[in-house]
Amino acid sequence: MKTTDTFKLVKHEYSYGKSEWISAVLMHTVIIGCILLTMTIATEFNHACNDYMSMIYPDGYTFYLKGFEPEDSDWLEKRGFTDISVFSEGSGGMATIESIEKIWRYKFQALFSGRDLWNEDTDLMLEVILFGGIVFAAIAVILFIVMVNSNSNSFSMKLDERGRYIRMLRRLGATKRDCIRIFALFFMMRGLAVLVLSVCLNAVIICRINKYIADVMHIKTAFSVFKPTVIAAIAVLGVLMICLSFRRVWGQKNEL
Amino acid sequence: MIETKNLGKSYSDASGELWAVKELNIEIKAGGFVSIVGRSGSGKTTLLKMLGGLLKPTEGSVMIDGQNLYLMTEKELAKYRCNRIGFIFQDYFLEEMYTVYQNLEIVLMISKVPYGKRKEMITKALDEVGMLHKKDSYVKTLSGGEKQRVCIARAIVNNPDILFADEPCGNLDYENGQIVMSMLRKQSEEGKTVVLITHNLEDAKLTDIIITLKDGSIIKHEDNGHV
Repeated sequence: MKTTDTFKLVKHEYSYGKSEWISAVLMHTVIIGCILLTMTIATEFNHACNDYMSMIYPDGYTFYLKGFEPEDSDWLEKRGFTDISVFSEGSGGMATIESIEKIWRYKFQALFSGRDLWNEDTDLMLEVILFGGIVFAAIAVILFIVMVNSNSNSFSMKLDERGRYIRMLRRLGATKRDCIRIFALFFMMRGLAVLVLSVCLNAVIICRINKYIADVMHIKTAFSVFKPTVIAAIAVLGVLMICLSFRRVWGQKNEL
Repeated sequence: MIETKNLGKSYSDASGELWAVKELNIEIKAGGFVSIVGRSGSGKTTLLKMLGGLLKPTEGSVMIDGQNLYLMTEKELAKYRCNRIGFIFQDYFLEEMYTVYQNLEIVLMISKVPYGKRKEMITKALDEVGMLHKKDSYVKTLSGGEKQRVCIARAIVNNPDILFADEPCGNLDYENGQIVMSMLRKQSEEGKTVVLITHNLEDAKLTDIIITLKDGSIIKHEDNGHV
């Protein structure tokens, strides 16, 4: 079947069962919008915490160093530490850093090489950053699983509903591939619409959150309204999910 | 020519293996108008599905012009169904939300007929069944007789050699049934091979050859002498 004809048949699918696909698009928009929101917060939670902490520590954060040697000064400088004083023979030291945004990464890097850096005042905040990141990431994963199941159900319902039509196409000489193309394209286009709408929904919610943080909490921070890496990741995962779920559902319907 | 050799299809269930069609040998000459009759469950529709490349037999073969249908790849089989066969179904199998024109266009889309030729082919097919005036009507607004005529138009739109009709008059009143039968007769006279499945002996008598099935086997093969 020619691509233009496939699109023509896909277009027809949109005039069929309008209320069903509109409600599915709205539901998936809310779920994807929430995934985008939680992923944005999970990836920028450290940034917000740092902005909050910078009100308490305007001059930066002092960290105690354990196991560091004087020759590790370069390593610390590269990561933005200043006022470095490393005592001899690994007996410790101190260093100051302006932002704790990336401090977990540095801490892991240090721990990996048998060293440590800590600050009693900020360690609690670091735990909050880690815990917050994990919680938001976990919510995103749960929402993604909900999304996968919801999509599978959506495919299954659509193929049940249009089973007779698919059988008709097959009897008229359409190959399995022709039929799969029509419905896969239908779901891909629907997925694209969902992605665009959920990016907009996410932008609206993030704007409201940023306004609340600025006006009520008086923290000078802002979550990204549009985060291309997160959107790209969702899009890639979405395409994969559509392909795999569709293949699985189609495979279950042997009579098609 | 359509030829079957020891054709059989069995289904398994809790009570064991049930043969819907067994060791069936038939020969349908090109341009013939053949009816296959029998009671419900005699294996008529199973046979038609196997002849049309829709159901793989358990044993035996279906040869169309010397080519074994079930040795073809899925793509070749789809191409065969698309270009050489027209199906007419008892329950029409039309897309209710499409117009008559769009229903016929699907066949031409599948057979990759260029867009420019489609209008002419659809107009010709609809004209042949007297449904040209309804080409922009939605199928859901048509009567049963009209739907069956659209189904015939769809079956002949890309000029296939063979027409398989599965109880085409089953849902129609006597008058509409006669119209459909005369249309099938006309197709046969124009050189198409028409295979009709029916349980109505009156309809079967209008065909050239009647094959009677019982429990999946041929019990009678009679020539009506129309040829």
